[in-house]
Amino acid sequence: MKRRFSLAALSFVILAGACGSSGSAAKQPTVIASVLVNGQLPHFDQPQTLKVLTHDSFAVTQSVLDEFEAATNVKVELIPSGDAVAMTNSAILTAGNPVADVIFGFDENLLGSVLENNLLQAYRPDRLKTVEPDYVIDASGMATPIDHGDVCVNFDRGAFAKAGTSIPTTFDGLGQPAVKSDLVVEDPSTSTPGLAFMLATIAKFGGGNDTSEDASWLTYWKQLKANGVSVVDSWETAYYGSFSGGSGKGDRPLVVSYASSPPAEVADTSLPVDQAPTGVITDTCYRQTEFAGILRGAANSQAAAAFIEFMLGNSFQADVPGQMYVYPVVKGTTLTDTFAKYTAPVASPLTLPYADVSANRDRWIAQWSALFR
Amino acid sequence: MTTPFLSLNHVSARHGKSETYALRDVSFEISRGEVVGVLGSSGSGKTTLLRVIAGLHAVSEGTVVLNGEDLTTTPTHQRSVGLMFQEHALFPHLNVFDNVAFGLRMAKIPKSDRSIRVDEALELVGLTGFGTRDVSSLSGGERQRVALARTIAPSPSLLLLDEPMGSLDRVLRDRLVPELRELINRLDLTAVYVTHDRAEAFELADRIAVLSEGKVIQFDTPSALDAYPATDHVAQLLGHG
Amino acid sequence: MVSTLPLNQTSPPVSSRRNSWWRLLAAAPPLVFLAVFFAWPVGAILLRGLHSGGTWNVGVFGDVFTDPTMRRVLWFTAWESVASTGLCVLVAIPGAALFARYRFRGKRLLWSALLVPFVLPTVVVAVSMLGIIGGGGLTGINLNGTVWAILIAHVFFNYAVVVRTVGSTWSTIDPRLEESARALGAPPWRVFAEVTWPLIRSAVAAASSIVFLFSFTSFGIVLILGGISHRTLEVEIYDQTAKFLHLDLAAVLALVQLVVVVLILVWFGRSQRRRSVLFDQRSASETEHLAETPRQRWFVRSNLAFMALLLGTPLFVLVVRSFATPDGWGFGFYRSLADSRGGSTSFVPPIDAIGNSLLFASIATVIALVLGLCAAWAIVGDGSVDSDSRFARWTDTALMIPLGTSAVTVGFGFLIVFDEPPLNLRSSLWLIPIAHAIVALPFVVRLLVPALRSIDPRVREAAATLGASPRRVWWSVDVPIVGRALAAAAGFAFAVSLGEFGATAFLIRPDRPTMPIAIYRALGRPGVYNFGQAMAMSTLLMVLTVVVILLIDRFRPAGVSEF
Repeated sequence: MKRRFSLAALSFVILAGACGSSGSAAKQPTVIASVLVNGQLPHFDQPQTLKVLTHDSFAVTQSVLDEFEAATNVKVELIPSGDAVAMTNSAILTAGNPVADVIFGFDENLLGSVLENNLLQAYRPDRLKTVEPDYVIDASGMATPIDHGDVCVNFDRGAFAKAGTSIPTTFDGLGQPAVKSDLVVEDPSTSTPGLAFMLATIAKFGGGNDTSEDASWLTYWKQLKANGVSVVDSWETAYYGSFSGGSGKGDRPLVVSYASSPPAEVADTSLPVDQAPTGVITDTCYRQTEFAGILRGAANSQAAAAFIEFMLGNSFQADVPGQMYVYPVVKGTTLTDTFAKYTAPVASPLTLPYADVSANRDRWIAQWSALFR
Repeated sequence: MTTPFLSLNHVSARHGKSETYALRDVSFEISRGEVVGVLGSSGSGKTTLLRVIAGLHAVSEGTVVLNGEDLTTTPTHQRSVGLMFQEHALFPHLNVFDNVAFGLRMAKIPKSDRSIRVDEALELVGLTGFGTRDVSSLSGGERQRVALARTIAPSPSLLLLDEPMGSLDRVLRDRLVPELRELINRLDLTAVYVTHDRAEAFELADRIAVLSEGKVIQFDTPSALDAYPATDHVAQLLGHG
Repeated sequence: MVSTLPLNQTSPPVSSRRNSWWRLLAAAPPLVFLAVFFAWPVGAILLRGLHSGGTWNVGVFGDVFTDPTMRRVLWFTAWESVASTGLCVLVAIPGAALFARYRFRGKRLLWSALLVPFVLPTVVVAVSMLGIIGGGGLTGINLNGTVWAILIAHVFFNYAVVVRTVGSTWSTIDPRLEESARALGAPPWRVFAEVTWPLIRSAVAAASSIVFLFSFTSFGIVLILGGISHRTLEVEIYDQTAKFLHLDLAAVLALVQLVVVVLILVWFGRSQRRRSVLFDQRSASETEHLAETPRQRWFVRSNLAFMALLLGTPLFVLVVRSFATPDGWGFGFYRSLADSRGGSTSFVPPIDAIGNSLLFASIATVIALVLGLCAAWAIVGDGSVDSDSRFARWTDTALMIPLGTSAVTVGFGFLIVFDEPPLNLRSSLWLIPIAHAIVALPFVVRLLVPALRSIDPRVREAAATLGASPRRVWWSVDVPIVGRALAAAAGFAFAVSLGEFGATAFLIRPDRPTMPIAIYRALGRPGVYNFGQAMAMSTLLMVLTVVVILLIDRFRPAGVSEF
């Protein structure tokens, strides 16, 4: 009786699988013409629905989103799908027959796989010309930059004041005995800021082509390891579990977080900047740009294009810092008071070409893991 | 008069930590070889009395002395008393042989002797050859006999029986009670037998203690009880009027 | 009442052909459900990994088994889960004894509250535990990153499963069995070893299999508390799937996981059956008593102290933090749950999250109950000897397998199979209650099966000989008896759904976050208010859970059920 059952189930699976694969022939990509009308968002006569695939950290003020819906007659449905990596991989898995029209939130570390897997169709937004040219990384014009953030080491001002020691200002300072067992970082294989910090060390110390365990960036990590660095799985664990400046009351005064984290710790906005509870070591910052694109096979590419333009519009760009703790990419966007006051502009953050990252990331993680596991 | 084999001296016992008493100031003595029936309606404290003797219920005041030894604080397993419940409480995961052998194993009787003594015990209760049977396959009467065999196999110095016939039907009971009496006589056992059934008590016991509300209100031979019930309650329990 | 576990049963075989036909029909819905929503997606994602470009990637197997890192992961996963299970059983047995044998104030409430850790989201508890054993915390002990932290957390999460499963079986054992053993000269430890243990062993096996599955597939705890050097198979599968998209490697690992889980389930199932013993069951009120001697009182007190330490401290830290606002103690975080914080789309008004949670939990409960009842009935059959067939055992095992499968495997599997009409469910709201129902199903079945088995087969046979059709027998005999168990199962399924995080997190979903998701999201952002809101919302989830479980326990049939 049992055997018959499993056979039936199996044949069902095979049949259904066959139907599934034969039906999903990829739709032809089309080049989408500009959708703006006199520089304004288009209004669709028929009500439309637009699905937006995002990472879990995506946020926008509801009234800002309402503006878009009212202007265009497009109803937006958000589909949060894990962190940026999981979101991107789920999009790769469904390439050509996507669950959404727009994907938002992959960074330059993921850009390589997005392009290799032919996830997107080309759309060159009109409003791209308002974007700071530094952020326009994808020459093919498929991935549109929307915001940028910097991953930096944050410090707990109070802890250093109490200990009477000075706050380190450089990478080398993090390896000094004065801050022994003070730093907590995230595992680059499981955490986006963790990966960014590892890339920062590669950008800073070089040796990215060295496959040996003596690569110069790894030598720096050996120094950190000897100095008692703690590695945890995720930003949440690091920031709330280990960092003494966060609300979770950990015991380490240095953490890999974002340049934009300090404003969130400020409860009293009359506080002078140099007295904010936490601050950023700007020399350690690594640039992260987040992109959006129209998914190949999107059901509603017109509305998708309108949404990309909207994300480069003033109201969305100005909303980005307060909602996602990142910076706008459009020139001249004004920042909110708290945000502008408590974040230091990162003048020259570290970067690596995305093609290098894409080609070497897995090997770098493996090299790093060999040292730490 | 010989020295008493079991004596309870002013024993009181509470219900748990509460202030109400299950037994109040109970005192009596039993001689070796005597069979004492404890008669009382439900809630009279007769089961508690048995549990106190077995060490399963804590004594709040008074002492329990068995064979000259004060057992008041001795744990049950060191008292060497045999205890048999109404429901027989046979170990469901063991067969008949292993049930009967349980006490012998605890007493560290060597394996060869053990099997001889189990066979003897089973023979005494008329269940020769039942050793490998599963206890769930036994009838009510058979279960009762296995429980009895299990209780007497380790040769306890005192047998405590809590309504051992309680779960059996009348016909079976009428057959088993004389058998039990004969067995007790043959092995010369000292026994305390709790029941609410007058006939059973009269047939088995040398003397009968009548319990009411935790107190012994009369303790005498069956014929004396019958002739001179101390109170109306005793008379009622004995089925008079 | 005599439980009719299928051992030593001697009732005559009845119309087995018709019987099996009905059972097949009853088994069909749950098995088809499982085939469509579990076997198919998992099979498809495995196939995608192992078969690409028209060839089978057999070589990956060799790569996995010869790679020292992978071998270390396999070895660690194996011993960590065995150790967690053993430790959990060891420390939970006294707790089970406490609930089985003693009456004390607050017993009912505690019995219900025990389940709170089991349904709380991992990340919340883990962060709270870091505050205790993470160094610099309450105790000053630093176990962070050690295997001890993992083991303690596994015990924390699974303690209730063992205590409640074993405790309710234990409470049906007549204490006179133990007293008889004592009178026969057995010291306390031998009473336990020779009498109690053989009778609770099958319940211990049932609970152990659940604890093992949860420890074996542990994800969040290992990541957060285990540091980076401790990795389980589940973590590796997640990374290979969601992070690296190495579907071939992930498929091999998922297959290994599947094989181990099935082997373990079969082994547990066998030992459970071999060791199950038919015994007269007592109701719990008959078998419990007040602590009388000083020794008993010490036992009760030390047990309660242990529970307070193990379960209470992390929860206490959590609740305390939910009231510790920057402006001092107060309801600030709770009040802030109501304001819209600039109207962000990522902000979930807790009332919405609660609403979503309740909605999904209700649907999941209905699905799980309908399918669970079918499955339980198919497993029990008519309760006669031939009911204990291979078929019943395999159905039971099949229902448990999803508990031991990586959520990301299923989640990514969903993505590639439900992408065409009529089953274009990828972004359907239905997937969430369906996923929850899959998780709840084994619990529901384990509550219903003992209840169905408690029905004396002779009653059914009597009804059948009186000319009742199998359907009539079922309706007039089984349904009323099972009603209470059904109510208890409903509550449990509800609680499981309320707390479910893993599967929900990996599903592509339109934005209807449940409470655990909302908590996780608040924790994903910096700032004192985000953290405080996560703590406040966790406290609300705890309260909601206790209320639901209290209601379940009110309906619980005395003594016959597990969990």
